[in-house]
Amino acid sequence: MADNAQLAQWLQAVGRGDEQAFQSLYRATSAHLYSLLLRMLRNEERAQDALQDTFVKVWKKSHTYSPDRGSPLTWLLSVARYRALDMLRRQRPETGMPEDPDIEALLLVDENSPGPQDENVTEEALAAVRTCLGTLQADQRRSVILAYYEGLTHQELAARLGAPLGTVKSWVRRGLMRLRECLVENR
Amino acid sequence: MSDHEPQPEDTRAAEYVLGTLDAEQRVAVDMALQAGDESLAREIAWWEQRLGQLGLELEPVAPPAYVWSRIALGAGISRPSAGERRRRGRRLWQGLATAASLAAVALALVLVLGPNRPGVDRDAPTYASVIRDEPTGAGWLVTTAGGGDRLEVTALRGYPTDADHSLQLWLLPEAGNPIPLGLMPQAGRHEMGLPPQAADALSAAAKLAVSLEPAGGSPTGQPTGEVLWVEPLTGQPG
Repeated sequence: MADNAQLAQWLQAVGRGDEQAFQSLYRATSAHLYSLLLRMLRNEERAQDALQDTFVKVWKKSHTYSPDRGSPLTWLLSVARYRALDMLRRQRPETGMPEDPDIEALLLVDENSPGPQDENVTEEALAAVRTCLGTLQADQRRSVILAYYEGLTHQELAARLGAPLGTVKSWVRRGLMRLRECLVENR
Repeated sequence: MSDHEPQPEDTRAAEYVLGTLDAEQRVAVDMALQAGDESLAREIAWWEQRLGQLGLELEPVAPPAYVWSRIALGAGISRPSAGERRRRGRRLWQGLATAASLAAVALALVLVLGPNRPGVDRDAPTYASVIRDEPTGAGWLVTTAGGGDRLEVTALRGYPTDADHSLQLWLLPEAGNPIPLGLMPQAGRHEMGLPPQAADALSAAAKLAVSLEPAGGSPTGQPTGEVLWVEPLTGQPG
């Protein structure tokens, strides 16, 4: 698997219209993006549509990468995620929301798991986010995690967590403030 | 434009990245970004990197191979014609990927065409080809068998299609129309009988092609969908 420097090089070459670099970039990153899209959209066809839109946009430079945006892979993940959020917003309210408690378990119980095995994942960054999520109150943590992986709105979070809207808004907000504080301290 | 540093209690950027802003707030952030609010843009990039770590927590899942074809189409990258493909192949000889695929072809041909392979009708010429999709690594080894009256097609790595489509193999004779051979397997080894017309047309000047057809194969007996790959046959006279 390619490292960040290689991914950044490919992304820059893609900006110059280099088809080979585009294919290489796709090969190296699409499985990460597809996994997140499947998780958010819960439907293979829609996840494939979102993946397609994401890469076509990157190719057509509707989204442009610059090194100050950080790691190329996390940047690509956020482009994909914004696309999925758009699709979810358009699809609501008919989207069913199956219960899925395992994502939180994945993050919080598995402290010692080796994590995804490739060089793109900077273990330190991942560990920092994990550690800091652990410092959040349970309701705050659950709200942030559900919003990230499922793209839930405040209203949907309120319904899912069985709490008033105002309370849920405050969980998300305080959770994010605490997360930022902790991540800055742990830098 | 006010470019003040964000206050800790300002979670707009974080919620923008997380996706929990309502439509009105989201549009306000988009407008501020458009207007060049750099501190907001930096804060958003910061959160994209941090929350992006959660995305990396998931086990990667490889998308089906046809997604790449759709992206190439959507991006306006034309699938190279057979001629361009060969030129490109030559240009990339130094490339590792090509070197690897050439090694695979060479190995395949040694195995198939090797002089001491038992059970081969030594009087009949033997032909082989490797059909490969470079972006996805999908590929098949195609060899003649049974003295040239059938083909063995071995999937090296499948190229999944949706339920409405099949991949169909064609023989492109030196002259004349494509001859339908059979459907490409997604896994394992598959035998196809060669119609006499195809057996007669086998030569080092003939080529193999694979096209994307309606499920079950072309209804017309000629390719109707996109021709995905064209590869030469390598032969050893009997």
